[in-house]
Amino acid sequence: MTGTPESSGQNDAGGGAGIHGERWGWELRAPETSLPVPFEEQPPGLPPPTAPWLARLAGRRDRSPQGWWSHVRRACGVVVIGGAAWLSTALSWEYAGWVTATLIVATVVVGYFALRPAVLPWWGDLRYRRWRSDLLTQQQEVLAATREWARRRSEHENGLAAESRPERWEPLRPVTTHRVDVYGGDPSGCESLLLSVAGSLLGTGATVTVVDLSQDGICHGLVRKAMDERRTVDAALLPHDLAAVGLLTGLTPEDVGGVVAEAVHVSERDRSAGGDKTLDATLIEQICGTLRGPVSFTRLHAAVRVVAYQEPRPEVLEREEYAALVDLLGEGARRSTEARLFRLAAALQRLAALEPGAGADGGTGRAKDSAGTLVDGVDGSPSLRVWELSERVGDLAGELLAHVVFQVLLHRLRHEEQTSGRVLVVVGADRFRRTHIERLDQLARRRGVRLVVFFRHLREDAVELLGGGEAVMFMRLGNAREAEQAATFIGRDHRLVLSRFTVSRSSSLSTSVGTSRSESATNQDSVSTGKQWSKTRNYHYGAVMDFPHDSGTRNRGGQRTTTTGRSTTVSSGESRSEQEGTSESQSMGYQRVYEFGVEPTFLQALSPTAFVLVDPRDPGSPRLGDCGPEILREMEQPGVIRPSDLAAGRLPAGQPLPSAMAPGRVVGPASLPPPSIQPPSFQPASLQSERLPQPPANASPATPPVEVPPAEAEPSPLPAPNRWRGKFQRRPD
Amino acid sequence: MRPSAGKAAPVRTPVRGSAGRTVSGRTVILPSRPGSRSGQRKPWVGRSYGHLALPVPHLDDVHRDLLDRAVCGDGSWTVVNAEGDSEPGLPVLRRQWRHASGDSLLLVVLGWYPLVLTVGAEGAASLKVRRAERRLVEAALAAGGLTVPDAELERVLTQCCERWEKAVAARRVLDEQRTWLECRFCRTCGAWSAYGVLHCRGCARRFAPADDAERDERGRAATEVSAAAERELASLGCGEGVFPDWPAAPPAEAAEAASRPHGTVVTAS
Repeated sequence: MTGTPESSGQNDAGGGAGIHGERWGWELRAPETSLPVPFEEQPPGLPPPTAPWLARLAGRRDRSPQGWWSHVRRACGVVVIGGAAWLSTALSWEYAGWVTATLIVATVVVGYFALRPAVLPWWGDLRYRRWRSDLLTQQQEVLAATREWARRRSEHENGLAAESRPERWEPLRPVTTHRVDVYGGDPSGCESLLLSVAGSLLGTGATVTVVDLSQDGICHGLVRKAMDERRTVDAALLPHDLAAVGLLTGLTPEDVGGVVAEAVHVSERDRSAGGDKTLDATLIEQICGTLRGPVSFTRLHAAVRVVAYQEPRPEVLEREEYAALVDLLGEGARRSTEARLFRLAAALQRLAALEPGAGADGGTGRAKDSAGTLVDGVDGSPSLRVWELSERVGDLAGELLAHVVFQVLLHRLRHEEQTSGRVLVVVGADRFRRTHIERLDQLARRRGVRLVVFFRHLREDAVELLGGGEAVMFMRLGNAREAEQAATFIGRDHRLVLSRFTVSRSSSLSTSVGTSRSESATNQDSVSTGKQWSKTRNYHYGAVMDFPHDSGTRNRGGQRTTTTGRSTTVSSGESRSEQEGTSESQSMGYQRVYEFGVEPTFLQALSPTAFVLVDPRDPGSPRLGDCGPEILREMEQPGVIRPSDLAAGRLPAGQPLPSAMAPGRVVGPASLPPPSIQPPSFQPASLQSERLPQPPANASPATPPVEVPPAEAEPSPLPAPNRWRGKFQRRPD
Repeated sequence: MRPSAGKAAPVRTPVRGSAGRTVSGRTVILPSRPGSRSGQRKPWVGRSYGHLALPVPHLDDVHRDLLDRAVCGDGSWTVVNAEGDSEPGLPVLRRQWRHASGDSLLLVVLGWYPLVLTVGAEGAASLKVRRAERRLVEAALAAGGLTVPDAELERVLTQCCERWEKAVAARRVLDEQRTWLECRFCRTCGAWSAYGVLHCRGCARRFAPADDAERDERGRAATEVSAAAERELASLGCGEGVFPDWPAAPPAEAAEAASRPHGTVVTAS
């Protein structure tokens, strides 16, 4: 399996291999649009109509005078000149020819100008009809060319549309082929996931072994489905079917010692591992070495009691076995190991109590069939094997039995041959220590067994295991600390977030009223007095009488002017001014932050069947998926449920609502880290894992252009620019 | 065409070259402009035809219906071959109306960006035809249109051809920018995905914040370029620049124009 979706089948279009191949869940993929490659060919335009005659006619018309008087004048001119021409024929022959000819020419010229205003409209209409007829002929060619152009463009767009894909569910699975750790989730969600994973793997022919130690019945749905599909199923409920499973069957005394000692010590978490475990293993090994028949917890418990307490021979032990057990330890050794023997006896007593029948032949019979096999896929073995720890078993016994089962599992894996096509699912692995899980991982890896480990919580040893495998799936983690651990594991990234949004609005109103009054009074008195005196004297010189005499004038006068004036000026004024202003401003600030890629609250609010898949080998990680079985039904019967209906909570009548889509529980990929610079949006969460196209913050794709191009709204030679944008905006992200 | 004292006389026949028109009982005297040649001669030499310009890029449904209503308002006119002349996927280049008496009126589209059309009688220009033509012209003027005189028709059509080329270029720009508005590019595999997706369509890689920032930046640039192209298209479509003072100014500018001495004068009837 590779990381590309094409090779991994993640892009399978809904049916076929997508439904029937390996599938961990479904990922809702946004519609895929084709690249809008522009249509290169230019649309044919209208032919340039040439009509120079129109301008010429208009010019002639404009040059002719207008008004009724001009017509009268021209008519009168025609009449006068024509009459003159007629009268000129009465002249003598010497002049009549020239005059008459001249007058006739003048009559014709004046007649032309007189008739032109009436002839031009008629001529214009005639030319117009001819011109329009030619134009229509040319436009037929344009229409034909446009028809061809539209056909080619339609083919081009159909080709593009064929590449687009609608919103759909696509199978989702991790790229890794080995270990996947699943954290969180409630029993129903885990059951859906197990059903989806193991169910699809069974469909591919794989052999699946499920060890369900959760005591929640998570494997029930899978068993039912496998039985419905008539697959070979070997389901055992522990401890009821403990004898049939035969946990200790086929184990050497050394193996039994190791299994029991590990189980006892792991269940005591408060005690540190040390030499006691080795001593316990040695004791059990030696005790088992004395047992000649099949080893069961009942017989082992009886043997330990015999060694520890020197009891009389119990029924489950043979005489030879009893004799050997009594002499197994000397008095000194027995006293030094008495405390360990007591602990082992106590633990084995609980295990023995779980064995049904607890007879001497307990653990035989059916156990022989499955002895030494757990995850093998040899012919004849069931395709699905389930070991389920019953919910009715007590806590102490259940804990102990779970660890025994796990140790047996390790032992059997250790002795497996390397084959392919085997899957081991361990549900409820929270109770196991990190070292044991890592040992299981190591063994499974060497044996070629795919390992899926379910943890109910993300705490204690599970935290240390986080990321130790390959892919990790997080289902709902209700605990805040666990959710934060998961978010920390998924990682942080830089993004720009809206950090400040300020709206300021101010309004001002100012009114000023002013009144002014001014008065002025002016008095003016002026007196002017003057006298004028003038005297002139003329002298005349002549030949007869040459003497001076006074012939001039003498003037004398006086002048007196008195002016009195008084002026009063009163001016008053009132001024009033009002100013009103309103200002409003909005500002947004973005801040670069380094925060969780997936917020812890998102993980806390996941729907029961939703999960976040983190796979370091998947470049698309993290992915959000859903393992609800309703989606598979939808894929098998397309049209029953549409993704948009799921997101909107609408379902056909009678159709059960998928748990992931239940109102109030729907949390989906919309909460996954959005693209960094997104406009502030308050969008409802949905289960879409892909965001539908959103324009940039300052884009206005929803607003169509002012004009409507001819080729779109109406048959027009030009394509519309916003057709795709409108399509995208039909559904909110 | 001057209203008599005490009683307003409705102005008629802009087809005859008058600049007046009757709108909702008010007489609006249009400002003087070369296209209408108000107060001068009638704009067309012939008596049976007329040329009009409308502030739309092409003959769309709205204006086609408007003209249909204007011509066929009295019920005696019908549209001839409406389906044939408006074939789906093709532009409307002609429209013909026929009277019950057999007279016919034909409209032919001469240019786009803005829409320039000519309407005239087909055959003899009877009184019915000329009245229908007058109604059509009045409707076009009421819709913000303009009469184009014979003397300027060739200039206008030449401009239409040039503007058509510009419109095609602007449309081309819009088509090219659609790529950045609807898709995002993956630097890793070179595939194109939808704009808002989180994962690459080609390699299934989850886009990093840096990719998102680059996409948004390109989207913003494409938005600006597209907005400029759309503004140019709108300007070309409404006929801005073909005639002075046409198309009609927005309300605010119109109010300002009304305050000018030779602005629009509204006479209450």
